[in-house]
Amino acid sequence: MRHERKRQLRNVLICVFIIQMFIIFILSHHMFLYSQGVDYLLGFSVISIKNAVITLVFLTISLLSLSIYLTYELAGLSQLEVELASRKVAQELTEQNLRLLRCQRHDFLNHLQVVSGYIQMGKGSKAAKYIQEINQNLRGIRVVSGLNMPEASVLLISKREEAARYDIEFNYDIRTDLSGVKIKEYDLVRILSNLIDNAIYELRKVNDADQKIVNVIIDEVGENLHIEIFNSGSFIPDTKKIFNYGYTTKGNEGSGSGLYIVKDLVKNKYNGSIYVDSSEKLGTNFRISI
Amino acid sequence: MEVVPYWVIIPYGFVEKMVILDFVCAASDIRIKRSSLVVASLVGLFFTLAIRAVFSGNIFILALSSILSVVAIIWVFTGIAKISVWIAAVITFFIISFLEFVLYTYTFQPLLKNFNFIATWILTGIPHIAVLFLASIFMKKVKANYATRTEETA
Repeated sequence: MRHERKRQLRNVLICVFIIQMFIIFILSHHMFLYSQGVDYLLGFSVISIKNAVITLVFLTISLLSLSIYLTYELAGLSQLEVELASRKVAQELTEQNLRLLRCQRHDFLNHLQVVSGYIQMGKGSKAAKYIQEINQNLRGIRVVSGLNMPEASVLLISKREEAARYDIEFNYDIRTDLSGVKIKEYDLVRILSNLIDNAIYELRKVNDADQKIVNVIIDEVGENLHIEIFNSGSFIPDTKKIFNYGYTTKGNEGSGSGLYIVKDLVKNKYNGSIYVDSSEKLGTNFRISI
Repeated sequence: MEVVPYWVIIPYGFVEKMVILDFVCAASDIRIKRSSLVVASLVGLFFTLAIRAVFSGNIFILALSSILSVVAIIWVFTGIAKISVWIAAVITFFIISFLEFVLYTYTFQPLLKNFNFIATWILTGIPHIAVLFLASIFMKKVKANYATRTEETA
């Protein structure tokens, strides 16, 4: 419905422009004929210069008001689309969060059963060790869940779960609570999700389990936000090309827009910088400063 | 024959156009934003004036442009072009024509004895604006009342 309205407004705007051109041509032609003393054209009387000028002025005001209104409406609709896209992302993250909570509840019940089993069997030390392991595992989640941007927390936790499914070691070092950063949560999620998704995708191709590592570092220095995303599996020979629109290593699976969006957000929207270091031995590291 | 100046025609025509568009929207059950109504009236007014400057005296073209411009403007500003809009636009045109004709024929000359030409021109034009304005308010009230009753019954 909204797309339809947008298309309709755009078409009307084009029509208005064409009509303006057509009317200017017709009236100029009439003025010329009138100055040449021609009274009739194709059976219609040629209008006087005074009337032509009046018509031109009124039509210009009318069509100009219409053009301004249509442009304003189109801009409003585009803004609405951006807002809706951001709400969609927020909704998806909330759904992910709910799924995650359900999974954790399920895991928690399983852990309780294991601990209860150890205690019933009289193996208290094993139960204690098991609880310590769980605690270690949950410590990471606690750090992330303390962030001021719940969207980023949910994203990192869900990506950690996704990485675990492919036997990828996913480490994050969050040195800030993101309270003083100027970036919008929706944009941070877009940057992080694109880079982490790429890292996971590259590591899925690696067979050696020891080589499958993703490190995420988020830090705040002064007013600047620093993000580092490292993956041990991929090597990019030409790091300049990767930010071009349409460039992809995923074949038909990829659209070639992920890194282009990241670059567009970092450089154009937030006037930040983005660097890529890639080597065959060490892997690839993206460093972003906003 | 005296000519009504544009400084009178423009504000008068603006109010008239706004009332006409509001009436057509109310009659065809279309909601239009107040800001859109103002811009639509402005666009419609200057379009009508431009047509009038080219085809002054040609009643058929003026009538046709009056109906078509109302329908086209409502379509552009609301995205709706249903048959009820066409019907409402035609009915509005006939109401205006009838009232203008009656008032011009029977009241213009008597009023001219007491008022100047511009005041008389405005006075003979006010009734059809008032009729359309009151009719649109009445229709909105009736529809709102009907909607409330339907909701209560449901």
